Amino acid sequence: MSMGTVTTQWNRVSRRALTDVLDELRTARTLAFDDHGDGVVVMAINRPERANSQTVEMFGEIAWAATLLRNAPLRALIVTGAGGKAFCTGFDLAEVDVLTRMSVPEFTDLIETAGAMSTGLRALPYPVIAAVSGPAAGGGLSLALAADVRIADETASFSAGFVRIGLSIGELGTSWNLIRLIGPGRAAEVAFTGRTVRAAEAVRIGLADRRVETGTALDAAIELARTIADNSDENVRSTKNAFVRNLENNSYASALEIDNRGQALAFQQLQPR
Amino acid sequence: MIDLGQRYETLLLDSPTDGVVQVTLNRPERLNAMTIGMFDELESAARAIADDRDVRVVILTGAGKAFCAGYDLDDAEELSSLGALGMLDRQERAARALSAVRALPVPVIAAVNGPAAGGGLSLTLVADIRLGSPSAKFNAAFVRIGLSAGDLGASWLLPRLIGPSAAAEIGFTGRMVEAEEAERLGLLNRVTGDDDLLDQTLAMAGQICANSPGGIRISKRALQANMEVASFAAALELENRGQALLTRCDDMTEALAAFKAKRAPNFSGR
Repeated sequence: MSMGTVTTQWNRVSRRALTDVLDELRTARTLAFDDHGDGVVVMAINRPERANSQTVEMFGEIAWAATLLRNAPLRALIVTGAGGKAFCTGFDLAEVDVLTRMSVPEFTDLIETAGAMSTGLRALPYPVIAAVSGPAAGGGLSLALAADVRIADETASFSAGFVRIGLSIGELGTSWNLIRLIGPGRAAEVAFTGRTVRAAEAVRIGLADRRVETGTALDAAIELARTIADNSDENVRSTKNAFVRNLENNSYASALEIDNRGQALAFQQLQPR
Repeated sequence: MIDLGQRYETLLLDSPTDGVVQVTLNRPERLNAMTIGMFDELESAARAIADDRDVRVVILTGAGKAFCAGYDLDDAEELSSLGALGMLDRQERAARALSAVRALPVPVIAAVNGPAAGGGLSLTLVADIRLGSPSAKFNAAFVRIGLSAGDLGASWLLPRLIGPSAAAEIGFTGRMVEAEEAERLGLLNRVTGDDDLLDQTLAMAGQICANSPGGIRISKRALQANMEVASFAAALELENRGQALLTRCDDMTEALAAFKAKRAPNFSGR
């Protein structure tokens, strides 16, 4: 009996069959899931008739999906906007006044759930790629920033519209992520003005990692996912975890120790036993 | 409202437009070089501005051709006669001034109109945003006069702004970084035209002033705090509390009412 079989038999927490996970995920009302084979799954924000804007329900579903996806044997997750016209335009302004009517405990519940979107995607043991076409605004920007890599087509744009509706950039990990991604000077300008950053500038300042032709962001993301999947899943997982942890690690010595142990483990795997 | 009539020897304060205070380093005959008097004035001006809730954006610039040439070497002559602790005292007074600027609750835009050297470079770094004219240039001149680039926060801020490698090169060589390179490195957000540095700075200030005062203020503090906080979880917690606070303020309700009525919001900042 191989170790793999043993694991499938006992471990119902960390691994479930992909079809099983997808069946459950497809009960979502605001998200759509597409299996592209070879461990590549696309999660689409699925409210194209409202520019893929977010609702209270969607925050709950993204957090829930991130938890389920943690158990799926994927090689990469791609996040995109259904329809290709908008990535995700943040909280639906038609619904946003619900926020002002909530009590403080209700709001705290909501924002902690919404925050689980960022922490959940970062915690996935495989890369997350955002395929951005059209606007990624407000909470949509936060979602794009929670990915490991961002691919933008010519129509992609990014904006932190929070300050225009009386809120702050301090939401869903955006202040922490943005400053590390594009530096404090550019982060301040983007946050304080709320202005729109188009694809070319986004790539120049590091807000997006690659710019592709209009309509090809998703294809490019799938291609990148397959390239990543050509490498060993354990090594990619170890690499992602080292990046995520060491970005939060103030100690260089401790970061080195994490790197060293990871490499030693990787070498162990190469040795025939 | 802050008293714009207050006399300063080394600074010029004015309000080019509603909600914007412009602080001009005003020793053009000495390339706006810093003196102990300038540090003291900068600190007290920053504290006065911080107390004024009507100020939405602060612009920092230099009179004449230079932004700021760093510590005035004429003033520096007496430094060697100070004891070690006397010198430490001087250094702390200078650091207090720059910390007071960084502590301002509203966005600070440095309009870099010419050379920013040594302490002048450090001063641009405590601003949130830097715009420069084509004649803006930067150098970490410290090592050329026997000092280190560890001055007035530069060693902390510069690597975070442009990365450790570019910061090391600029810190160790003391070479001049011209405007175009500064923009490429992220030291400048943008290079403006020859004649429109202040116009473009005011336009950006206008864009910021159109947003909600509370949102901007909490945004600035979140960006500053979460650059210093290593833990993502702690950063999220700080963000959650800020957002919860803002939903209790008037501006979000006003923004939504304005959105529905298809008009511009009228933010009160309450």
